[in-house]
Amino acid sequence: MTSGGTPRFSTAVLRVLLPDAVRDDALDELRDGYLLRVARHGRAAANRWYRRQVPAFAIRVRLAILTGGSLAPSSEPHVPESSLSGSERMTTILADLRYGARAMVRNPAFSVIAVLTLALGIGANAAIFSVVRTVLLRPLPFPEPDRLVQVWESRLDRGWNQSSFTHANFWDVQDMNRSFSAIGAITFGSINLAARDNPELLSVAYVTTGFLRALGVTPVAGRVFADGEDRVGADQRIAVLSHRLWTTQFGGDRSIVGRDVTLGGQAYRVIGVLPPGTPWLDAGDLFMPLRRGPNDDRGSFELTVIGRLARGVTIAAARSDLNRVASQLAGQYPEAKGMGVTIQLSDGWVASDSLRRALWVLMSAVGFLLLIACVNLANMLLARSTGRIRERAMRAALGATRGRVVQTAIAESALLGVLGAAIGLGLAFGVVRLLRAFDPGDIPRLADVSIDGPVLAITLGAALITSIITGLAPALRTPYHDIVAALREGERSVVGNRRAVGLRGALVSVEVALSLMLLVGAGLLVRSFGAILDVDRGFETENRVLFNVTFPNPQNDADAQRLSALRTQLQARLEALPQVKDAAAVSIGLLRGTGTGMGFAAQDKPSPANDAVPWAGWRLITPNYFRTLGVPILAGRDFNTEDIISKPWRVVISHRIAERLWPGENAVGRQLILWKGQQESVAEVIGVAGDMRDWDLADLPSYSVYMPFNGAGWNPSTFVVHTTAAATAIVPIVRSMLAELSPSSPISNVRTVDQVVGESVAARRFTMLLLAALAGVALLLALAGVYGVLSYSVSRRKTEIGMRMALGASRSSVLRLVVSQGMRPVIVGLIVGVLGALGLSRYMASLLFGVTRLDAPTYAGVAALLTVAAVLACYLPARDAMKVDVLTALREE
Amino acid sequence: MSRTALGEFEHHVMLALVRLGGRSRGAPIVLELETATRRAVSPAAVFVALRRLEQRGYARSSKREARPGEGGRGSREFQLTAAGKAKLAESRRTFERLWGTGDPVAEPS
Repeated sequence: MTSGGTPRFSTAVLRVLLPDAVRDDALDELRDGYLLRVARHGRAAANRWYRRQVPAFAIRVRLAILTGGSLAPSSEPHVPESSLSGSERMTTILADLRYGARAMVRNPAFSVIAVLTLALGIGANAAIFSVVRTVLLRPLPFPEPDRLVQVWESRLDRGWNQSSFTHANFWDVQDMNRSFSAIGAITFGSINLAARDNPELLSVAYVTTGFLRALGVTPVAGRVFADGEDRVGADQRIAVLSHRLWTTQFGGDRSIVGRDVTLGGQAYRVIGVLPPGTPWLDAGDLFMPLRRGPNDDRGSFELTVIGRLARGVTIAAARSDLNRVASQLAGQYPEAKGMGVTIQLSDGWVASDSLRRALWVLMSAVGFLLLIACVNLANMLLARSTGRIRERAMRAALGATRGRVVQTAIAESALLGVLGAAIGLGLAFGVVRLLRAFDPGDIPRLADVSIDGPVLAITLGAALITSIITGLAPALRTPYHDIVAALREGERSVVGNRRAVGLRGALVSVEVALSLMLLVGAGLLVRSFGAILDVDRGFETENRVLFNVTFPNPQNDADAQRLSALRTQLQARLEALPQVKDAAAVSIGLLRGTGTGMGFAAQDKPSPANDAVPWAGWRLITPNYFRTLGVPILAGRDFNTEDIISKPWRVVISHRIAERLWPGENAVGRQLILWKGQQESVAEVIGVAGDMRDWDLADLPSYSVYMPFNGAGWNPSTFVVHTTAAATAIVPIVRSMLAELSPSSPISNVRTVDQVVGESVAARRFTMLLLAALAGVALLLALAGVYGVLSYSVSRRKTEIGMRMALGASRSSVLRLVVSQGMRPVIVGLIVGVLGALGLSRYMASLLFGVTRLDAPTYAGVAALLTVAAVLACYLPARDAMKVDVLTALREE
Repeated sequence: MSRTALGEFEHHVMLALVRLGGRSRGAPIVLELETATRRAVSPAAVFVALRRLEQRGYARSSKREARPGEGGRGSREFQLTAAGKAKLAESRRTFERLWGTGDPVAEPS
């Protein structure tokens, strides 16, 4: 504000006497009156007039406020520069942008660091947001997805709240429900595609005709299954191709529709091609009709069921409708006793709960990172603005309004923001490509992730908002009330400095707290990952390879016997190889996360009727399966070639089953009820094997029941081979063996056991590495913040430090002084960060394994790491302080 | 919005605003009133009155940049709102009704 030549003393007195809210306005009006009077009556008269007004003005204004309330303008919507025309305003903005650009060029180091800081925060956000958007937020590729639901059977009396459907129950529910416009079931199998060189194994999704109709799928060519094509007697040999198979095997040729393809030795007519997409549309290479048979049973739970709610039907209504159907069935059929249903929305179809959780944790992490970047930038701008206080005071003195000063500051920081966003987007493109390259395999839609329009828009918006907010703080600190002081004292101006230093310290605390939280999160994941790799798997991995062999699908018992014989022969030939120590086959490979299961019970120990039936995974195995995987037989014996499935029922059980049913007793020779609650076969326990974590490393060792593979027509077989050296080297040998034994049988899924273990934790590794990388960047930014604040304050205190040293302060005491000053906000940040991490870690609990979310070593380690790093960041400016030359420092004053 | 009648001083300030082209800063109003009333007018009184008028919705204000050549910083500029103009017109009609058509008092010379 300019005094306009008004008597200085009176003006100063008035300024003291007037209330804040009206001070500027009042002084302006008095100045206006003064200037008019100078023009009319001369300066002396004007001065007299002005002095007379001082007490009157102060008293009247105060009185008016006392009696009638505030005098602040009631309507401040008028833009301060309302008298500027649009084009004038544009000109000032352009000028400000030019000015900002010049300022950036003048201070390249500052600009580069500021832009990079922003780019890191923005790039990480754009990348992770594009993943979240594609994986979690993009709607399902079906019309009206909110009407789609998944339906499960339940048997609360057996403790199952979600189980697959049995065939017969599904068909009855389809016929009897009143809630769905379409309902369908899907189950999975495989079939060989005859190809020139190597037969290829295709996955088949068997679906009822209601399935694709419920999804509302429109085929890209041909048609989907019509009503009635799942009835007995309908044409069996028809197939719908998945989009993937259509493009890879048939070159996207539309004329394939209506032609025959040879599958499993038989001709199938292609009737249509599905659009691309996930879920369901990629559930199989081929879709074939799932038929309703006359003998469909209610005992084996095999079908996944989805439905489309009829318009206007709520989930709750559908639930009670289906439960009505279920209780009707339960009353009618003994196998359906206790049947109920569970209905779930289609939300979870694309991403599992844990993936959802992991992505939101990552999204929060990049949010934190952006916050840290903003804080850093605000800190840098504040530091610079303190240095440029004289400049702004000068502009104010020359008549710039607060609005103009703010506009200039925003133009500068918006420039930084736009540049940061541009580079950040470049970074994001790179990160997204990297993510796709490191696809852990179980993140759906990851291949579709891209930086598209909305991500671009949100990124730019975020960049502008961030930079404007960070630019605002220093601009608002223009010293309007003490222009003269600011002009005179420049950077050393006391005005606002104490507050600025406090603000910058607080910002450092925020940075430290945020990065500590990120580091704790990353630390917990790293420790979980270590724990999961260290967990006692129960089986050996070294020099062991797994592969699937798909024999021709058996059509009858004789085929099944032939298949079983082929399997035995292949095993025998493998064992005969000099480089093979052991070989075996199993119905389901390791760590698949899913598998076959059954309820079990001890025949000699009837369990209370209401107890939940324990659930075991079961596997068919050849003799030597345990030895091949290095699993001990704890009691009894392994299977031999004489043991044949179900003739009679003989089983090997895992140690946990023995401990549960016959704790402290010998389990061998006992009778075990298999498929408790279903067909209830009674089997003799012939052996007890060591426990394995063979479903999921993060689970407890599974309850496992093993039955002889011998005699079973199960397809495909997973072979496990333990070799003396590099295990995969035997694969070509296996191929040539198979070419002799069964030329049409493909070999697939070749993996060393180490690879299988690695793949089973790939998603964890993915999340862990990402979070660790983010935490690392956050740590760097926070340290840069600590360093920046401290080195700035040291440079400002050179004189003081020089004085202290001149007066005899030792170097170590100066060091202590500076470091302790720098560490104060760090320690505040550490405390806040630990508290925040304690609170926030609860959202990660489900992602952890083997550590609790309150894991003390993680917290302590992270706090120690941050402390050491921060002390180092403080040491550099402190060392500079000790180098202060007393004479130079004093001369600068 | 207050339905009370205008105070005499407020009335004067509004009329001065009208005479100044409907738009003015505080200081010219003070001079205008001094010219019209031939008395010293307190800028503080005008200052308070303008803000009360604004609070009652009869005037609005904006802070503006100094125009080129004006020097210094701009100060607050006031203008009457539609409500303010209506209020003025209403009080004029009230006065006219009260005065009637005759000339009940002799104009002091």
